[in-house]
Amino acid sequence: MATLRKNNLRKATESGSRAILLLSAMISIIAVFLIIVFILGQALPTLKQVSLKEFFFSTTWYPTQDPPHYGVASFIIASFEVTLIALILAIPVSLSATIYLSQFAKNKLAQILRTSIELLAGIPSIIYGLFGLSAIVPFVRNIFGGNGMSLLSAGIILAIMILPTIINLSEVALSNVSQDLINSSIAMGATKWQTISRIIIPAAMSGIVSSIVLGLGRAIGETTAVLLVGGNAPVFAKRPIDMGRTLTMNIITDMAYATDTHRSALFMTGALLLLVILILNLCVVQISKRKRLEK
Amino acid sequence: MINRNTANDIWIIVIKLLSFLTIFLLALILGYLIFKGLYSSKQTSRTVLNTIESNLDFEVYSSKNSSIKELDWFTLQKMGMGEIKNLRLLTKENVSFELYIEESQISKFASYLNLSEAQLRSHSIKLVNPQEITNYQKESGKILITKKGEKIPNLFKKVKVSDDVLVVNNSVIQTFDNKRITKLDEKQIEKLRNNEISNWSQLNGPDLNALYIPENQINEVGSIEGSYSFAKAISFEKAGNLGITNLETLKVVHIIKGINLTLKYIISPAEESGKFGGIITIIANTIFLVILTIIIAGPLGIGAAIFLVEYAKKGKWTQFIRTGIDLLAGVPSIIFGLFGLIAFVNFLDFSFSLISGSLTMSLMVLPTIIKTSEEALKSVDKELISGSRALGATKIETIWKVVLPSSSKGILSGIILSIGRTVGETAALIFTLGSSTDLAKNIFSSSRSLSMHIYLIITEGLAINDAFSSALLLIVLVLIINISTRKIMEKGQKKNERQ
Repeated sequence: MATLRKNNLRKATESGSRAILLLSAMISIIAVFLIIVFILGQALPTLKQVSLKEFFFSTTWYPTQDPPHYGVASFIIASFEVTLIALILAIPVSLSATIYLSQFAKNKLAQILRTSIELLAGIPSIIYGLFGLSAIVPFVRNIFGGNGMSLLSAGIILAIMILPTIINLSEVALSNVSQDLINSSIAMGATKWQTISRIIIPAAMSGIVSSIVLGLGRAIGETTAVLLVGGNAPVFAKRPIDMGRTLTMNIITDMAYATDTHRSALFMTGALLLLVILILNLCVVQISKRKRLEK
Repeated sequence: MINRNTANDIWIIVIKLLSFLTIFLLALILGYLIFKGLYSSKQTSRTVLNTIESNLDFEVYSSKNSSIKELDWFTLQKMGMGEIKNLRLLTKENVSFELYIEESQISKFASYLNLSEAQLRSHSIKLVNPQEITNYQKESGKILITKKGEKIPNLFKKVKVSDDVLVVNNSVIQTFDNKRITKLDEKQIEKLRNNEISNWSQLNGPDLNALYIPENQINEVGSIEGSYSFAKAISFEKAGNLGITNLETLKVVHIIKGINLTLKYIISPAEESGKFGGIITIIANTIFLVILTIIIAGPLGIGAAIFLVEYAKKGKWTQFIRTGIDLLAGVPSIIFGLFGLIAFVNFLDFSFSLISGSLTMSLMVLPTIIKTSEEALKSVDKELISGSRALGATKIETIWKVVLPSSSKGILSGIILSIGRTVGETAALIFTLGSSTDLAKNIFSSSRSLSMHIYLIITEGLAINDAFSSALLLIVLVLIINISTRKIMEKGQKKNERQ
């Protein structure tokens, strides 16, 4: 009798803990769902005052004037510009580092490179911002003129910040390329570079692309670092060396004092940002799923 | 067409160079921040010249633990006139100021400052006998004036007083052709002293002949365009009192060098929103934030990982859960900040507090904990699990007693990684944590973390040197966290290999 009761208790514990564990596993998806619902809930009232067309295609952002204007086109373009600069600078460096790590790397230097990448990934964005503000801004001012606080400076800082993201993920892709494939390429007399450029990179392309997409997502969503170096002027930046404001900078700057429509326009900006990033991430999930199926 | 071997060599050199650019960037960032964090060199301008030490016929001392190392004549005069009550604006130390004078030195001191004895006495000076001074308290806000050569107790240190000024006719500093001399640096002053400057245009000033006038004819400077004189501050002031107009002093660049991050800065509490004092209260609040975040996110993350590894079957549901984790990992921190603001601060009415901040951070670090714990759980030997099950243990008993203990290292490294992220986060906390610099009383108190403090120092335009010293502390913390994660992971891997 006692054993039976004990067994029942054990069974109850078993199914109880399964339920608790399932619930913890569900938290992430619930959180994503709640984030979308809450942010859209705050964002939608914007549409009572502003048409979607004005919101997305107008470059006039005068939230406190009468009548107010809520156009975020210049912020969208600035976000795009900053991300583009970051990717142009980061892709060659991170691909080189990835190739070095996966193809040449068994020595001490590779170990140092690996540690450096890990440490770069761990540096907080406020530190990148401070470094950008006091080192990169004067650098850009001296070389390209202007104020120094600019979309270009923001792009440079972002390039450094997304290096580890791209390197870590594309390294996995490169190390998954079948060794037989590489060996046969070398055996047929191809040089190392020919093997890299015609065999390894094409074979790892989908992984490299998804690493770049994730880097892109990180660049678009970064706030603190770009805020300190980008100049934060709510106008359309004509050249990369002009001050500009990205979507994230707009949210963090105006949120401190915004009310009513202004506030919900900021949530709309957030919703737009979230939408772009969720789509990018879903793409990555799809790419890696297809990859898994192929295997 | 280039030989393909040459092409190969060139490309490989390019790859190597670009790879090592990564190491160079890390070294540059760390080196720059460590340098700026340890060593401060603040450029200001002041009226007195830097180089010459004056010979006074009395001695000036300051309390030993005060950071006053030198004083200029104008500050000393303000002290004598009772205009300085607190040293805050002078040295950032929030201590009240007192001027101690030996009775016999009053007349000398008063005439040195161009004040009358009665004027000096009427303010809150304290007359002291230097021999008895051991009886006074050790507070750091005191200046002591004594007879030359007097023996002074160990509580005080000597202070250098500068009282030379560069007096010019005001034509020299007028705007001319969009150019104007605002201040001069050491080298330019030296050239002036050596009579190497014949025209002010050599110093980027107006086209006027530079004419040196000796100090005893200082009044002439007021009437001759382009003339200048090196004089004591008191001569300049006396000339002004005589009604000589057109006299101006030319400011000089003054560089204050010193150690930036001091132990004192770390261990003293922040005052008036971080304008003065140190950061110990902010460090304590950061630790509270980290602990709360881990208490919330740790069990949830590990639980989710256990579910995914031990219970979940391959299928649509598991795929759905995994997609959720991947998406949550990609959400930018500013969005977490917005969500925290509506959900925790407003909707649940926790206001700007530690609890709102740590709930927001928990969601942010959850994917990190899940992913690292999952890796650790997967690497547990399957035979160990089957053995435990074969002996009659239920699944949850096996997890508690077999799986979790043998994967604790990997799980721990995930937790440490999340600590690193929490310590470094700014954007998600600005709208959730508050900004108070006081020590948090409970989980509903507003507070700020170290990285938020750096952000607020910069955006509020406070001293950038403080931002660098906090940043150095932050980066040292983050590096320690990352390196220890790495060490723990390596140990775990070695253990697995041995098995």
